[in-house]
Amino acid sequence: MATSELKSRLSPEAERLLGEPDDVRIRAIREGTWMTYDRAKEILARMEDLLDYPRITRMPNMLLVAPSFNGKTSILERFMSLHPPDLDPAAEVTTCPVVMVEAPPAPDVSAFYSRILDALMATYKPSSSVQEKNSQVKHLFRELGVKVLIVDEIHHLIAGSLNRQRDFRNALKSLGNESKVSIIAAGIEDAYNAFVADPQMSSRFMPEELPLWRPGREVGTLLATLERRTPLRKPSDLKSPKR
Amino acid sequence: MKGLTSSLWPIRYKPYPDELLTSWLVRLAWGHGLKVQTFCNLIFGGQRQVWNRDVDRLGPDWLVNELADRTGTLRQVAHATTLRAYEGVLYPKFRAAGTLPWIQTLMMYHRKREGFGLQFCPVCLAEDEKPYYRRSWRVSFNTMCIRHQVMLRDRCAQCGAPVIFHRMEMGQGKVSEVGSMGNCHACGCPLADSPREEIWSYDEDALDFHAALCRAIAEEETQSVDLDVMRVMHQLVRLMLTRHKTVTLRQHVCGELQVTDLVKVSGRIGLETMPLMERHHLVQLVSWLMVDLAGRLEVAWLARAIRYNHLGKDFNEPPAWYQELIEKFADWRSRFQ
Ligand SMILES: [Zn+2]
Ligand SMILES: [Zn+2]
Repeated sequence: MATSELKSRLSPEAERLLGEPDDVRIRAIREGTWMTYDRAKEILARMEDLLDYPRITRMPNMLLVAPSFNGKTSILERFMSLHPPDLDPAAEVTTCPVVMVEAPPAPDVSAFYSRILDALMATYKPSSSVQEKNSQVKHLFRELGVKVLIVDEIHHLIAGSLNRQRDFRNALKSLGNESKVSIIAAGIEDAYNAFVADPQMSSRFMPEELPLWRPGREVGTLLATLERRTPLRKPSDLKSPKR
Repeated sequence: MKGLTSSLWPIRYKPYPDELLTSWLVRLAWGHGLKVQTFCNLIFGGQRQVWNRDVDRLGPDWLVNELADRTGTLRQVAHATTLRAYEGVLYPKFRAAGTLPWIQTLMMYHRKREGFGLQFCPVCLAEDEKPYYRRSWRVSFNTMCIRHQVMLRDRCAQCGAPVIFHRMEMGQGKVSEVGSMGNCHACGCPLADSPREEIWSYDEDALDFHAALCRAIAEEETQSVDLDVMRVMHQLVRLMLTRHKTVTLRQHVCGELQVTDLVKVSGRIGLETMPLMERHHLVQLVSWLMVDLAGRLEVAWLARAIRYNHLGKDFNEPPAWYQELIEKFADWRSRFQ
């Protein structure tokens, strides 16, 4: 295969990696790559809207629903990477516009607050009461300029009794109201069901769906891009339906 | 912040100008949304007690370095929030035990922890974006705010309680309910609202001398403070407070200035545990002596308010100029010449 052909086949970064030993290339492939596509762009744009939203009494929220392994988490991580915390040691506080946590395995409000405090790298007392943690979270949101809270794996909500589910939903709701932070809840379809059960929730959380991938132009483009960025020495021709 | 590990705290306020270590520590704890006690236990463990001793004075490395490292502050900047950093400025050598010359004690006053050891300027507190406490407010001779031309205060004008700002949160449910550090811990009233008392003095030159010291310490221009002068002044303060019957230096100076003596109790009690008004009075008297030390000491000596052996008593390695000056009074017979 001619070098010129290789050049046109791969992105400059993938091409640079071609000369590296296997372990380096394998690592690069495993690190993955962010590939944009129309639906992801739309959702990211909505998230940007939330981030820029003025602080009002009823902040808009988002419920991102997607089947498992459908790129939901990479969209969230992409959004995070676009708005990283500013850890400048010379600054008086960390500026942290976006915080992301995974919902605890069961709808446990105290564990939820602990996860937020962990994500903020805050010093806190794990055995504090729920009220104390709640006020510390709100206080830190204000201090650190948090505007968007992402709660991934929100479907864990349905792992508990109806009472605990309700408590958890209420905690989410009041956290959003009191700290004027937009919440992006993300999870598989079960999350949607857990949310619509509560009319108040469904009116506050705009659902955004990430549909299952189906063969089509978009998938083809995506696969072609993936191939261009993957430092493999031979072409895979991923987008060809025959393979 | 997932995946990021950092030794830095999310809240990493740096010390304000001339801020006192505990003031900084309390701001950091409250900034984290925690009570001071909880914060300290979480950071330093239950073994290391912060609040049952004078940490501003002790300035332990484990505390100072931790705050420095976790807030991205230079260690020397953090160290400068302690009273230890006055070593070589106000006193020759730091000692962990006993009193340090010119450093107000928080210790027992009438058996309670009610030493009026921390002063404040109501105008400074009123002007602060977030009220905070200055290191120079722990210095005994610093009785006035030169910037605002008012007397400092050493207790709440409303209820008479000393300033113990970290106790603000006692009995409070949540940190969010705790007021500002600028409020009295006992009655809750803002210390910034205290009456603003004009600076008073007995003698213009003495006031200038005294004010220069206050300015140097408050503006953190400690290089302009002469340790030997501070040591001699401290020796004179001690002489003025001694209960020795043959030493009446204080009464003598009051007579010279024609002022009423404000010191209520002398002996045993040192300048560093005295209330503000008495301290201001004493430092004014000593400053008056310092303005013309040789001449005014001689007058005092001739009036038998002081004897040679007292001038050098318990004074370790006095500065040469002082030693020379007092040698003139060595021969008591010369009084009659
Ligand atoms: Zn002032
Ligand atoms: Zn009071």
